[in-house]
Amino acid sequence: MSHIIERPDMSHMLEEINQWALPTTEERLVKRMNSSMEDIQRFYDAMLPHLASVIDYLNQFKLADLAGEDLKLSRAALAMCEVDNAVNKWKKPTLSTGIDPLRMVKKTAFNDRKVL
Amino acid sequence: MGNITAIPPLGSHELGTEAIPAEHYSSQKTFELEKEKIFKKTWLMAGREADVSKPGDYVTFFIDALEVSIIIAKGKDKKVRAFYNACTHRGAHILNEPCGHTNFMTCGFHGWVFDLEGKLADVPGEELFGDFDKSKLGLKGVSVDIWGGFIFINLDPNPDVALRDYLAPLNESFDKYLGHEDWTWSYGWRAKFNANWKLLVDAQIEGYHVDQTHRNTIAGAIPGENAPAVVYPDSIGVPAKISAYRPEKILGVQTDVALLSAKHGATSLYTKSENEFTAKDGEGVLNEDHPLWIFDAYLLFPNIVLFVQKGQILVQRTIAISPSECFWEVDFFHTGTVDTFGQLFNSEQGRIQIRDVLTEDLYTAEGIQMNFNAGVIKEVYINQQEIPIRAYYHRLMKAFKGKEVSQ
Repeated sequence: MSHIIERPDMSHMLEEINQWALPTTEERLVKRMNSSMEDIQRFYDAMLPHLASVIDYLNQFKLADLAGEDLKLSRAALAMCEVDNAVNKWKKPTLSTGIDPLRMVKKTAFNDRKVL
Repeated sequence: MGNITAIPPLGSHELGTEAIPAEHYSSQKTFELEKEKIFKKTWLMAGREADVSKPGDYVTFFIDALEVSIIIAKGKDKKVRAFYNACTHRGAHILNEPCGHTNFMTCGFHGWVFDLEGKLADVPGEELFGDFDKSKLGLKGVSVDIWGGFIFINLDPNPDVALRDYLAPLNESFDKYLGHEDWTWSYGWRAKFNANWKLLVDAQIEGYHVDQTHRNTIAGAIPGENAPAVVYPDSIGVPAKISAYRPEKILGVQTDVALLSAKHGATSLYTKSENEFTAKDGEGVLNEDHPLWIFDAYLLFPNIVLFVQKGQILVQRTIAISPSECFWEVDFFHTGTVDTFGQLFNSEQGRIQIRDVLTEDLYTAEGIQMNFNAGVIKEVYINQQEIPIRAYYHRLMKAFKGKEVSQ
């Protein structure tokens, strides 16, 4: 019998989840680049203590079955990957010693040259 | 017995110590030589075999410097062929999509139809032409071969060396490992740079830059002193490789997010994962005997850096446009699928970490190009850890001289 993991209580950060639960990596990148460090830090600090249990909770479903509030929570959890370096390494929203990451356009296939 | 965790020597001066002229990154004269002696004469990675797995599947490939477009298609006989993407009627491109499926290649201009073997199969209103021999108007063919699951083309109808000989010392083990059907393309990026195409190759084939260039990302996870170089002076198509090893104790910041990610997969190069990638047939390719080894990155002349590790292939391609402009692409291939959120989190974390590292790798090239173009910097100095850049330069000079001979 597999043990069912309860959904963590995230009621303390509904507003932050709403702001950061964007559907794609690129949208979350733009959100991070356009946010103040205070906003990034507030989101990170609110989510981090719950992140392990959020991942464990979401991990018990098939990805394709995630919907509604769980899908939103999954996107907010992925946004933690986007803000990680800003919080822990750069101490500011963007990296000042690299090219603008938006110059790297996402491809759809190995031979895709239409993106640029 | 030596210490099994010892890292190989960082490099050597076996190819000399002289400065390298900046001119070969900036002059039109050098670029014209590259067009004639390299892009028209050497094997170029043009696609992935899995993208033409069924008869009728095709991909197109551009050699921007030559304004040449190539069609690579699988025939009904399951043979992969390559052609110039040029209708023999009045010269239009026939296929305009990066990839697709078709039973016949029909030119959108007047409807000339070519079969998958390149033969001219149908001409609307054929009687309208005068002296006319359809059998002589097939698509112009291009040399093609497959290695490691990658399709290579060569515009030379009679290449000086076969692909397999070109890629020595990468042997059959590499062909088998990289060509395994478990690999799937996961993601990739493309960008345009105001920099010579070779500068973005140089940026990936030496470990000397790691500590400084990556001081705000992976410093400590792969120290520069753990990134040794090896050159293959007898190889035609593989001048050099670099390797990366973890330090025995990872310095720098291992964040909570990275450590959580590491519980669910192995996508990041920069965090020791609790899960290993799976990969079949890696014997003779992967340095799994060394507990700290992460990856080897091979320079495939002229424009590819191929990162090989367990369960991940990373290909960097730079595509020349002019002396001071190029396209840059990286593509990732993985084994296994992403089915759970834990795996997705791991994949996302790894993808973002490498993206940020790449933004650092790409940060210097355009400034260097300006200094070369302005004539401010006339030569560059290469240390022993940077020996792959020297090997690359020597290979380039050898190509300019003519025949593809290794000795």
